[in-house]
Amino acid sequence: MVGAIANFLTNPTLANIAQSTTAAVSLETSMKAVGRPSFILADKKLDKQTKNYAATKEFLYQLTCLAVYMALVIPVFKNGAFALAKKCFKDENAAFGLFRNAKEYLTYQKLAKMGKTDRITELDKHSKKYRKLSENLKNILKTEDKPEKHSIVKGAIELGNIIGCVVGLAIVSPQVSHMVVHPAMKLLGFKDPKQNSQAPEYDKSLAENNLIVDA
Amino acid sequence: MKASFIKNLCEKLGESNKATYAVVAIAVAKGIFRPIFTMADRHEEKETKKYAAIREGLTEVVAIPTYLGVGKLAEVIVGKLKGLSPEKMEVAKHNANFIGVCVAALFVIPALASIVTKPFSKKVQNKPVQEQKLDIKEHEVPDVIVISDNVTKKPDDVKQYHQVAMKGYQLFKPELAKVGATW
Repeated sequence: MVGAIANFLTNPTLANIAQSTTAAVSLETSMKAVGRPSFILADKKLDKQTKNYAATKEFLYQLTCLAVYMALVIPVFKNGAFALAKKCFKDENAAFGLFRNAKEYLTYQKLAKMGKTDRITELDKHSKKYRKLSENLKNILKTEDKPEKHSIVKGAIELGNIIGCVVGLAIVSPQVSHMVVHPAMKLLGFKDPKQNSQAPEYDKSLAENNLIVDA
Repeated sequence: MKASFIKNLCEKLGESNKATYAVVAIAVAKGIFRPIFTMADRHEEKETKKYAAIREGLTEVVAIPTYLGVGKLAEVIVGKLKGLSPEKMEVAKHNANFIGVCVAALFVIPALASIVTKPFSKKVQNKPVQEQKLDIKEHEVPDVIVISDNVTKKPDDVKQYHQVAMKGYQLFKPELAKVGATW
């Protein structure tokens, strides 16, 4: 049991996901998209219509956040940060100069973490997958026991990702969701319970006591 | 100076990038910007906006220490596992921090936020009723409610009068809706 937990916790795939801002934020937003609507639906004090409306709205909001983040923020900020760092950190040209873009670095970094034998097997077995990796990088990965990980390149990409997710999720997404969520809710046939509640309900007990007069 | 600070930051992030860094940064930004956007909404009432903004800000205030705390707690729990080499322990702690963040986002924060922000939500939901209550003073409750020219009704109690005034006020004839105007 403990061995299984230890194996799970030291899983390299999980480690890769946990080290990547993109994966962590995407997974966290997906969790929110499941968790928050579930908690709204579990609230016993709200009426069914209000619960359904609020849960669907929250789900759509989180989905919009995820879409904005994946479609706009990841490509722009990841590559932008790499290009900017390449220009700014000229003394680190030895590291940045090896890679054409952020994607190439991330592929290299993923392979560099593997053991030498596994790495060579992976490169040979999936040569099509790694065809865009430069010959120089392939040589480094095949010949060196512990290839240099170039932490500063990874750090620049991650910093760009963090700035991107802050801008994307805290500033852009609320604006986009404002434009998207309400029409989507209408399309799904939801009406705002707030608007519905503006008309006073016909109260039977009041009518029985002759306390309601037809307007 | 600035370039070296950013460079150091990049190097540290490159060596170890915890999931908490990104989620806490997002929570801080949301805690600032979401209330600002809410307050800038021209279609909502001022009081409603104020309470909604406080509620949103409060949710993020709850989220920040929760992310940090649950992440750290997961690391501490995993730190007690025996039989792992120092290198593997480092990886395990890092992964545990990430799992902690996911658990916080899925269960802990929605639960805590609903507890902490509930009083604010109630205030927002009850606000229109409270405003109407303020218009009705107990000493103004009449002996007789005039339904029409020839029909009158004696209210059974103050509560019933309030119920009429709050729930059915739009159904009254306009001149009857005003407290004190027709009695």
